[in-house]
Amino acid sequence: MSPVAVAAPPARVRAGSRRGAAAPAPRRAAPPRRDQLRVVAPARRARRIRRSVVLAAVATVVAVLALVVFHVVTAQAQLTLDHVSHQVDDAQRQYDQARLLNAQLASPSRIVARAAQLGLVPPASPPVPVPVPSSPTGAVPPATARSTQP
Amino acid sequence: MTTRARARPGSRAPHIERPSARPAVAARARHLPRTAPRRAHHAPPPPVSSPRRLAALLTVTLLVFALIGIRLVDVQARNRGRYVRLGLSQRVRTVTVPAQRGTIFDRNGNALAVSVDATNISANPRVIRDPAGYAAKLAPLVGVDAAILQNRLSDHSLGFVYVARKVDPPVERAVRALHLTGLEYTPEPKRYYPATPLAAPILGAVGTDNGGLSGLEAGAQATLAGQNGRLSVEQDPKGRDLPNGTRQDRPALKGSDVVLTIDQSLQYQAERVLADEVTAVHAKGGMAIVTDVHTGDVLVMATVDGANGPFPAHPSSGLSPNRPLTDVFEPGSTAKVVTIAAAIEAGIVSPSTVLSVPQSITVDNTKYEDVDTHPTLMTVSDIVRQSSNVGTIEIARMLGRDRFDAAIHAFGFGAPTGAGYPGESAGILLPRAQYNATSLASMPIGSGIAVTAMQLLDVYLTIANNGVARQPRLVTSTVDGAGHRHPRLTSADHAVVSPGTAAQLRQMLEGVVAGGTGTQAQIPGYRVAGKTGTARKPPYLHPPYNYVASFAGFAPADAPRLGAVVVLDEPQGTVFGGEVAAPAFAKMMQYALTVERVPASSPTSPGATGPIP
Repeated sequence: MSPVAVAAPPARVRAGSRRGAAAPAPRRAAPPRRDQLRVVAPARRARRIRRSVVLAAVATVVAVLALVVFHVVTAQAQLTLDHVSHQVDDAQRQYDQARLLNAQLASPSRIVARAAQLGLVPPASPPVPVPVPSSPTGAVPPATARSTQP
Repeated sequence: MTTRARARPGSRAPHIERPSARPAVAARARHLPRTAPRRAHHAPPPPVSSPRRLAALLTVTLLVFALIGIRLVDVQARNRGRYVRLGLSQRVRTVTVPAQRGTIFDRNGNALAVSVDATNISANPRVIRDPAGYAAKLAPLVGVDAAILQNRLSDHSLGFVYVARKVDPPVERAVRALHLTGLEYTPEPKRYYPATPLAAPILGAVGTDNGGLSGLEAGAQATLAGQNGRLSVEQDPKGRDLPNGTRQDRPALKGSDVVLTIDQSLQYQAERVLADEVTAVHAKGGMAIVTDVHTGDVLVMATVDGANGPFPAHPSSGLSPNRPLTDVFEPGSTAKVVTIAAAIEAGIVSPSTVLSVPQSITVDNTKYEDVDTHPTLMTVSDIVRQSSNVGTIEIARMLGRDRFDAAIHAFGFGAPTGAGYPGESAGILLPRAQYNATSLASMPIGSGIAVTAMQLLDVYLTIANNGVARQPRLVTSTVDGAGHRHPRLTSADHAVVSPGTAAQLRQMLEGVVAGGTGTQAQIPGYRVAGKTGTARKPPYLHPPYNYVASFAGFAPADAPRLGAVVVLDEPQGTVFGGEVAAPAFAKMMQYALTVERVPASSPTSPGATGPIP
């Protein structure tokens, strides 16, 4: 695991140097450009790759698990929604049925039939409302209605 | 793969495997001297990667890919919508959610027509293996004949048949308790009329699919119907809803409610009184209206059918026409008030004007006579009180054709009242240009014209309302799904006669009830004004004649609050309106005055027609 130097400059460069012996001195004096070269530890690189792979795998698993959880939660919410929706429908139907029953019980024919069962009979002459002198509007409160019935 | 071998000088010839099918050639080769290698005599097999084969392969490949590409474009771009629809149709189930019809209320908020969810029970015959057993179990519960049910369930060519439609919850529960495989239960609104047959012709009826067929159910269909909803659900092949699947839910919008001016209690009482009267006089039918004079609200609109065989007289059904608005009849003497009103308004006569009225008069060879004998000299009040045909004809002649024609139109004859009911009749009037020699004799006494009961009552309401015509209304408002009330607008009031003329008419009409032909319309404690009518029904050629008896009026006469009309069709025996219609009028009006808490007329009033009990 010891560091390994990168190979020397290519031969072409050296040959070029020889061929360019007559070249001006400043070019030969220029230091070799080594900025782009660096020592890399192969194990570290592999470790980094391995770590990336592991991280990606974990992320994938977590994402899939999250997706599954989300799916389950959504499905449960959907079921709850359906359940509530059915409850609302049932309540609405019960309300409608109760309203219908109320209307049937309040119908005049049913009231008359029930009254007859109870032995009630229509008055010989209906009550006649009479005006109250003190009432400016002529409104007739129920208490002022007179009838021949006791 | 074939190996290509080339011999080099001095080297051993490479071993060439030849097909065993040519052993002779191999043998000869082994016996040849080892000289310079020589080429094979025959040409080597053509190379696989020859340009032509490659080109062909490439072409085929390109062609295949081109076809795939074309198909892809076809599926994804050109006919995208079609394939999307096909795909959706396989996994998306769309259900129409029927909208609930609005409720019809009376003026006090009592429900007269209500929609409640019922249940449709359907079956899939393909999964039913014992149709006879199913039919035997279901028939007594759903009320369908077992044989019919068995036929339906045995038809394996169908995947859906109705077992019963719109069954009530108890029936549904009973069927569910059988735990029969292959049955499905789907909700569908059902229309109920809790007080049926109360006001049935006004309300009308709906069909199996909840569409209005008659009455207000048909006339206010757009208001009552609402808007159907739609539910689209993505499902798996087994029909289960997919979580996160497409789910489009357009909720059904309930129809608006309609609030009538009808009073349920008054309507019931009026129907009973009318049915009793129709039974008593053996009439073919009858109709009655009670209206609030001040508002024009129709509180009662009753229609009764006469006895038919074993069936006694009864309120008409929802599929019957609402006769007070749709049927016309010759009003007879109840229409005389129009002639008298026009003459007073024109200043030709007054209630005290004395006229020479013979017992009969002949107009263009047609003889008109009065039923009751009377003195020759009569005041206009007497003419009205005793319902003199001859006197009325004389007044009409003094009035003239133009003014008479203008008067009957001004009072609303010949045009629908606009009460808000579908199919209202306009009545039948002879155009003025077609008046003949007897028109000005017949029409002023209510013959030769046809009106609806509502039109006739409208005349009396105008007189009761100081000469101002007010449009009657049957619907007071609608209430939308958000609970907002929308009042029904009526046309503006308009004056027909002056208040003075109206007051004189009220006084004369009060005299009819106090001491004329309409005494049986008297109500204890109240001053009542009204007019009787008896008209012979066409054809008038020979006996036995049929008649229409009527009475129209209002009360209290000194401060009118309610107006009413009663019409009896073809009463038998006694046929006069004052004897058959007036008593029914009195009973209805008395009850209505009590319910409306209308104060009794002052006991000291000269026109009070009876003591307060």
